[in-house]
Amino acid sequence: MIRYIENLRQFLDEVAEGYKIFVPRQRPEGWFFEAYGGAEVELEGYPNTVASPKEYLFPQNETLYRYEAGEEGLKYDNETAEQTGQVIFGARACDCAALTRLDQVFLEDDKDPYYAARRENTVMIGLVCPGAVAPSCFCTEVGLSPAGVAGMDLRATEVGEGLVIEEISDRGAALFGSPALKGGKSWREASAEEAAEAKRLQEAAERDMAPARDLAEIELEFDNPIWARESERCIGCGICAFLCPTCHCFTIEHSGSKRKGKAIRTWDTCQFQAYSLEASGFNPRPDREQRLKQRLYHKFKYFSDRYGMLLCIGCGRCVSACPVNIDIREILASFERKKSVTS
Amino acid sequence: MQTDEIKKLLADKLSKGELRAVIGYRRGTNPFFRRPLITSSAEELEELDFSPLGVENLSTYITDTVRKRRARRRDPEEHYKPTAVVLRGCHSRALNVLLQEKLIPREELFVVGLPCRGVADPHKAQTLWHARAENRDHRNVVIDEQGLFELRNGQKVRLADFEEISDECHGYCRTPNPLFYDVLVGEPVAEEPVAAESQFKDVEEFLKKPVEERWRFWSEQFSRCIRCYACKNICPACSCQECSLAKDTEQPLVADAKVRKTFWLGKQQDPANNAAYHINRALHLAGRCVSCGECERACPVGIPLLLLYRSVAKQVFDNYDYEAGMDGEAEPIMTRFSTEDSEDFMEE
Repeated sequence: MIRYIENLRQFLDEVAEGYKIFVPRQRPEGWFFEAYGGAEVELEGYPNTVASPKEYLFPQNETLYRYEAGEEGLKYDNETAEQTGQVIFGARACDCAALTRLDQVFLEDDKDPYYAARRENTVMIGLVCPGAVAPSCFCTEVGLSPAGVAGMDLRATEVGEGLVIEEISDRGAALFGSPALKGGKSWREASAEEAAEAKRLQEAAERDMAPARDLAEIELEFDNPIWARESERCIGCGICAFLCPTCHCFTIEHSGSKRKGKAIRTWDTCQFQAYSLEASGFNPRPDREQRLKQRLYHKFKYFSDRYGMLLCIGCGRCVSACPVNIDIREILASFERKKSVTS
Repeated sequence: MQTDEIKKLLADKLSKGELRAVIGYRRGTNPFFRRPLITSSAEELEELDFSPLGVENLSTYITDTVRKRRARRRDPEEHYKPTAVVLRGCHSRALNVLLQEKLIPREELFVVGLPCRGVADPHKAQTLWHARAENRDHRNVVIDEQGLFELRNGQKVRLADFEEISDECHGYCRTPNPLFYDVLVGEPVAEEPVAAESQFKDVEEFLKKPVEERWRFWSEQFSRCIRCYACKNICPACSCQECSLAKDTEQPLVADAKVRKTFWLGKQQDPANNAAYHINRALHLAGRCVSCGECERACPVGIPLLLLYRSVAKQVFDNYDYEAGMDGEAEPIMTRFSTEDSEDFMEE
């Protein structure tokens, strides 16, 4: 069923009876996801959030287990991810698509129970972009769309003063089957005109971002001098990876003493020198050049070779937040140019 | 010297082999941003850009570039060839800190001084452009010391005065002109710098708040930190090769496992570790932070780091009458002991 919500706040208030809700809000420093808390959600001028919503599925810190030495030896307690349902409202199509990438890593083969529990209990309400929302947007160049449904449970499109909501997944449908919303007053069935207008806006957004190229076609060159040139000014921070909605590397820290403590999973990144340091003291990627190369190779080769999809969803966060303007689009374009010259 | 002459001079020096490399600014992929240009090619110098959008403190690259190139090249003459670097006033203060700490000898640098009438804030400029430009074509963006302009039929049309797009740093700038240089771009800035006594107005305003409120403010700010370490990595004063606060760099190999494990902090992004990281870093910057503001510009989540470091700078100024990097000959304040030093803290 296609629904129409006239009053977003009323809708979120009803959802809040059964779920934790996170919404995009503007702060002086930019847009961030924040707990809903009952205040009006103002979407005017919303481009995308500074940090991606991946932290709600794959938090920056997560306790995996606790341990304590007792008389019968060491005792372990596995932590389990919180089971309360959560709704992420207003994630852009790129960030929702990112979850389909994280799913490959955390749900295929050996299931990661922490991620799996969160994913199962999270409803993604994606919000269609009005087109490119920032100069750094390039989702259509990685085969996605500003109105795409990948990773969404419900798709919202701003029509008139309200939202047209389309069911994408069973989880999305189940939200409207929940007690608070089942007989809810906050929604009604959308009229044919409203549904048609939503479709028109989605198509207009796609037209606005007609791709200039397909980055899946690009072949990276391992020995190209561009790696050295672009990495020379890299400062080796973790902004690109930590803001990235698909970067998913982590390390495990122990906190406490030998007798009692906990193991905590925290984000890590290939951009840090210590990331690839081996126990022998050897580091296969000692320089920023190799580390920058690794990040792009993972996104545009290793991951796609293994899972058949790029690990980049074109949100442009790494481009716009890089303090020294390292632009992966520019690096990729240099290979493209080279290819067309030689062919 | 005019910019064209400077480009030519540097290109000449590079081709004659008198310089090892040039560190300056060039255009980025977005017209509102400049990026560091690090090059040994005379041709690439054509792209050197001296606009007020070039904000990165390039002295950050000096220690790194010198270390890297030393490690790679074996020819001793090549080792000690100077590197040319474009520096604004506050950047020259940062270089002074590096010189004071003997991280690099002055002879290995060729300083291209860049008088600064305030730098542009690319985010402000971008926002105003989107609100006011008639045509969104990025090729029509012009930003200079007069303000933000749009090219309409080849004519510059003003969209905003420079004051509207400028960074707040000129409000406390002590050094609009570089403190030292080998060549200067254009003419020195004639305006008087902000007086030493009135440079900390922002900090004084903040310190009027009760201590509980200040702690709440910082706790909230630190809780948003994602520990990407951009603040420390972009900082010229953070010149340590291994950082005791971050596990992002290789630690030196030490036979004793206990020593190797001595990190001060956990990697977890939580209130305790975040606060410890920021407070420790602020203290390590005592008498070394020059208020260039690079950390704050780099921070992806917008933590007002400069206010923190400037609070420490104010303490150093009030207690020791010392300002970081103002005198390259001075002994670094935190390595100096004097019986004249204030001992107020012992009375409590």
